[in-house]
Amino acid sequence: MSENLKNILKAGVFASVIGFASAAQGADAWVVDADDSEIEFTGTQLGAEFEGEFKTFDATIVFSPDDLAGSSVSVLIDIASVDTQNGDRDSQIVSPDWFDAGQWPTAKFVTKSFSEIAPGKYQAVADLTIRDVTREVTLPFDLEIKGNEAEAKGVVTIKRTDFGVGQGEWTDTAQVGDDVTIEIDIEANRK
Amino acid sequence: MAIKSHKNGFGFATKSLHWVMALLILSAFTIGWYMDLLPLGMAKLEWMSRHKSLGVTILTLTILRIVWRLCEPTPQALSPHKLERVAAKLGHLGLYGVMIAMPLSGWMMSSAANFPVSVFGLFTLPNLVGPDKELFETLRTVHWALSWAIVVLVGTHIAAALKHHFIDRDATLRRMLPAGAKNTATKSVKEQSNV
Repeated sequence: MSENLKNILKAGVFASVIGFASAAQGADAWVVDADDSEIEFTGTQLGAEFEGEFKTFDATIVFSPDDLAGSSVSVLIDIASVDTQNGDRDSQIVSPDWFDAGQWPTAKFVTKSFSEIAPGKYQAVADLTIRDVTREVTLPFDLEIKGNEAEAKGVVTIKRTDFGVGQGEWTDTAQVGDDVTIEIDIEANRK
Repeated sequence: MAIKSHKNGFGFATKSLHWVMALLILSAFTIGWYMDLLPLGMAKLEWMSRHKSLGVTILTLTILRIVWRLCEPTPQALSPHKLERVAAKLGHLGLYGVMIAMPLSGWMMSSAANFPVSVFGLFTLPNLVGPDKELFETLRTVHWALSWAIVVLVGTHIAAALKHHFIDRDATLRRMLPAGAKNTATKSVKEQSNV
C-alpha cells in the first residue's frame, strides 16, 4: 500500500470516528453561571405589581441550535429560596396556602421540545410542575451564543391558580392577581 | 356661603376640606390600627389596600388645601391671648406637617417593603425608595410614632375648639361648622346674645 493511500485511509477513519463521536454526543452540554443567571417573577398584590426571584435553582442544559431534537433543559427551582424583599410575604409564599415548600420543596421545568421561531429566537414547550400540578407551558426565548458562552432570555405568563398556588381564601384573585409573569435570564458556559 | 374665606369667616371650600379630611383621617387612622391587629390574610390585605388609598387621598387633599390656603385670606384667630394664638398657629402647622408626613412615610414604607401603592385599584404610585428591609423597619417606627403625634395634635385641636366654644364662648368652633356663623370674628357668643 502506498503512503498516500495509507494517509487517505487514516484520514477517512479519523473523520468517521469524529463524525460518529459528534453524532453520539449530540447537542452540547452547558453549565449555568449561577451568579449571572436569574429566575424572576412579577405578581400583583392589591392591584400593584411587585417583583421577586428564586435565588437557588439547578439546571441541566443540553442544547445546540442545529440539534433541537437532541436538546433538552431541566430546571429544579428551590422554592424556599424565594426573595420578594419582604419577610412577611416570603414566609407566606412557602406556607401551605401557597407553594407549601414543606411538602413540595422544588418546582420543575422540563422541556419536551424546542423550535426555532426566528433567527436567535426559539421556543420551548415544557412541563412545569409546581406543588403537585404539572402543566404544559410554552416559553419563547432569545438566545445568543458567543463562542463558549450563551445567554438566554425569556418571558412566560402563567396563572397561579392553575397550579394551586393560593389555597382557600387565596383562590380569590381580587387581592393577589392570578397572572404571574416569569422572566428568565440564564447565562451558561459550554462544558 | 362664599367659596373663599375672608378675614372673619371660613369659605365653603375650606370648610368642606376641613370636614371631609377630618372624616378621611379618622377612617385611615381607625383602619390603620385595626389592620395591624389582623393576622396575615385576605382581610388584612383588603384593609391595607383601603388604608393606602385613603392615605393617598389625604395627601392629595392636603396639598390642595395648603395651596388653597395660600390663595385666600386666613380668618383671624379669636383668642385675645398672644400665647394662645401662637399655640394655635403651631398646632395648625403641626397638623399640616403630619397630614403630609403621615401618608408620605406610609408610601415610602410601602416602597421599602416592595409593596407598591395602588390607589383604589385605579393606578399604581411610583416607588419612592427601593426595596430595603432596614429602611422599612425605620419607616414603620416613624409611621407608628406619627400616629401618636396625630392623636396628640388632633386631641389638642378638638380640646381647643371645645374650650373656645364652651369656655371662651367665641365663634372659633361655630365658624368652621358647615352652616356656621358667617361673620362673628370679634363678637363672642355672650356679646351677641346681649346685642
